[in-house]
Amino acid sequence: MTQNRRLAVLVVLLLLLSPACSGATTEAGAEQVLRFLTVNMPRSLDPVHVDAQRMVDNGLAETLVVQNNDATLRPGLATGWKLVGPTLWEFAIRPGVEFWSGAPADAAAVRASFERHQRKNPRVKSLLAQMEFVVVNSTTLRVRTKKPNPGLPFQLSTFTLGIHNAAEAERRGEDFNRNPDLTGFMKPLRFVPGETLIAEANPKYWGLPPTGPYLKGIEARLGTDAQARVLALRNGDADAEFNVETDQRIQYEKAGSAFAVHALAPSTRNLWLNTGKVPALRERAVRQALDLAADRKALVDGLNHGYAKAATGHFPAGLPYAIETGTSTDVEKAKAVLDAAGWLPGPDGVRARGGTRLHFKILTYAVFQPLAVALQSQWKQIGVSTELTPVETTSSNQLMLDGDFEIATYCSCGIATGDLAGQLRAFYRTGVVTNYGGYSNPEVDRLIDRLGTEFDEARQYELAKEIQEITHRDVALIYLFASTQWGAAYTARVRGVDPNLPARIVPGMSLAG
Amino acid sequence: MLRYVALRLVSTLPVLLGVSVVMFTLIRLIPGDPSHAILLAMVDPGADISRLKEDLATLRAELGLDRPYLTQYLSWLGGIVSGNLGTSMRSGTPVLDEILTRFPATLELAGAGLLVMVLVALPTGIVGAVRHGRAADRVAQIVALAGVSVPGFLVGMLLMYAFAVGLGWFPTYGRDGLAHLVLPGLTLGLGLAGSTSRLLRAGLLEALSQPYIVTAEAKGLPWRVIVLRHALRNALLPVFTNAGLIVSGLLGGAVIVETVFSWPGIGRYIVDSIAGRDYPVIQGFTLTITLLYVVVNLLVDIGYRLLDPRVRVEGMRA
Repeated sequence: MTQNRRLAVLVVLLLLLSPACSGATTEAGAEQVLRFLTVNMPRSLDPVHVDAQRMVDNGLAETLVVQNNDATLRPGLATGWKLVGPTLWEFAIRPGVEFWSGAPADAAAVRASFERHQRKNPRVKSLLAQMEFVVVNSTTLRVRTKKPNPGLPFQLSTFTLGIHNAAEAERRGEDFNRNPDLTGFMKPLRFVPGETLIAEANPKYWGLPPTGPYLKGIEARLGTDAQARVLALRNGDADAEFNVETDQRIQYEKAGSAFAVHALAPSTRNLWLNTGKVPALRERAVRQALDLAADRKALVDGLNHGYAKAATGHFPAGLPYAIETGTSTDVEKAKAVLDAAGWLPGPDGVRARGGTRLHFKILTYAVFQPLAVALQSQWKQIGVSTELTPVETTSSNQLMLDGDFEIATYCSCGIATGDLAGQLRAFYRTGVVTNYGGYSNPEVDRLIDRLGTEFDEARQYELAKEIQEITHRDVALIYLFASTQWGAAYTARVRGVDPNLPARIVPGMSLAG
Repeated sequence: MLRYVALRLVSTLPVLLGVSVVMFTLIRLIPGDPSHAILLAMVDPGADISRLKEDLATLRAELGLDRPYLTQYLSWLGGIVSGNLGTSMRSGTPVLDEILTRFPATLELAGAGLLVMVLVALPTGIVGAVRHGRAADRVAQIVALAGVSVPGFLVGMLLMYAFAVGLGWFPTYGRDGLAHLVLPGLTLGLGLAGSTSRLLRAGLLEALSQPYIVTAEAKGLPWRVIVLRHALRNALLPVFTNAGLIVSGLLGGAVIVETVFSWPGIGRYIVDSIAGRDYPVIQGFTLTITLLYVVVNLLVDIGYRLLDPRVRVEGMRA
């Protein structure tokens, strides 16, 4: 190679590397653009689509009523609501709100949106099947229910019920998946399903702060690696992430004031027991022994690094409708319960009765596998043998729905709610899809049905506690710990995070510096 | 040569057909079909079980999963013949569009990885052979061994810690320019450089022991010319033969690298599609990748015949 050729190669290399060393560039490139990483990227921007994730949290879609982190409600597109008859609710629609297209988002448009949800949104089918929407005038919408429904405002706050321009959806057809007509303060500029969402602030949004800076845009990207998300925030490439794992939370908190971690409301991690199909688990003594032998302190301290509390019942402790009973770990008592039931230790240490060994398969998947391993070791102490059946998430979904499991570490958790009957029904009512273990108790069914029509708050709480006492006594599920996993983390640049909506992009947010 | 290429191209058809049958069957054997994957997001907690089964049946009918296996396969194959890879069950977008949107990013990453691999494997392989048994060889061997044995996600994380967080030279994620390509390219390339370097070293050691090298030395040729012009040419043949595996390594490694660096490529997308049981996407992707391997292997074979006269002679005899 001649001297000149060498020089030319060197120049080319330097030219190639010079932009590389100039640091990160951003697509939007402007200030007041919040860049963040999340696991939950939408595959469609049509609110009725099953994969329209974070539509409300990203500021694109709005709901009639907004549900806070602590399960209280605040006005959204509705400024207020009241019960006008046992089966009739009335909502005052915020006046003057427009869709991005300029069409009015009045009561008629809201009704059309709900009716499209009724027809096309499979996630709310049974919920909306009970409702009829009646327009009184442009700012008044009434909802008639088939039976008294105290939880209705809360039900309409679900993130899957984004208000959209239904007429425009019909006109745009498939294009509505990428180019929807909504009311939120962020309007999409570029959208790659499941990958990237770049949006700009809607200058006509009704809720923009009258003074002071506010976000002019967002850049959301799929970030599936938990540690890479931390590094992106540390490096300043991103300012927020919305799926903070426990290990990463420790790192953020160690960094002091550089980051702020906002935990989500605690939710109870349960173990599902297939009482419907597994003979040994139909026996209360066996379920009770498993419950007693689960060492919650070890799970809280070891697996959760202290970012959890031992569970006391279905709902996390501290809520006005939660019970404080709980189960105290007692290995000796667990052994005694099994002894009394005739399950005696065999030569291999595993208990058996009438030739049947006390052996279970634990269905688990990646995020809960360490929990399953810990329980396997804890139950070994009382002579219960287990084997893990790790599967990936989709398979676990089918296995749970088919009831094809014995014990499962499935993510279906008790959490603060404004619809006590709805949540308890989903877990414990006989014959309901998400009552995966097939638990059935006629008394519980009766109480849940009664709770569903009870308007008095104090009485609601009493009924909810009564139900929980029974399910706890029955060991319908094993309640392990209340976790605050998967919260949001922001860099110190981000101002105006709403502490009661920590994972939501809100108009009051801005970037400093 | 043209006849040879034509014959090889024709012979790829049964391969593609076989792969399509195997893939079409295998993905349907995994528990959880697309209707269940979609249900992950749509389970309506208030619904009763009979309602769910009704919904599942409706969804399966909408997705065409209630038809007999053979009908589904032939319908899909018919689409392929007319250039239609189907539609994603999750996003409703044509599979070809989904692949074309993401493939350039993966190709860009693979190109960068290939460049890094060559830049690392070539010098370490040559040094290892030329300085055989000495300290430089041992260092090159350790580098190669590390490249082979350290997992890609760890290399990616370490590079990110050092060059993005520590030194602030490069960004941690995304695809918005050359700066974003450096760390993912290094991660991918270093992983492949190890095995290629070892292959090259072994090839060079064998070549350097051949009689023609002694002849070259006897002729008084400089050592640099002997190594780079005579021995290296022959030592590269096994590396060249290995191109199919390198391509597979680049695409396989891309899945990890794309996940760590949030690189919007096809690798990460396909993993997500497998989790979501998006059958048309998985089938379309598999077929595209199979075609890619076949083409790469064909190009390798053609290149081999051009590079090595012995292959041509044996081919003619055959």
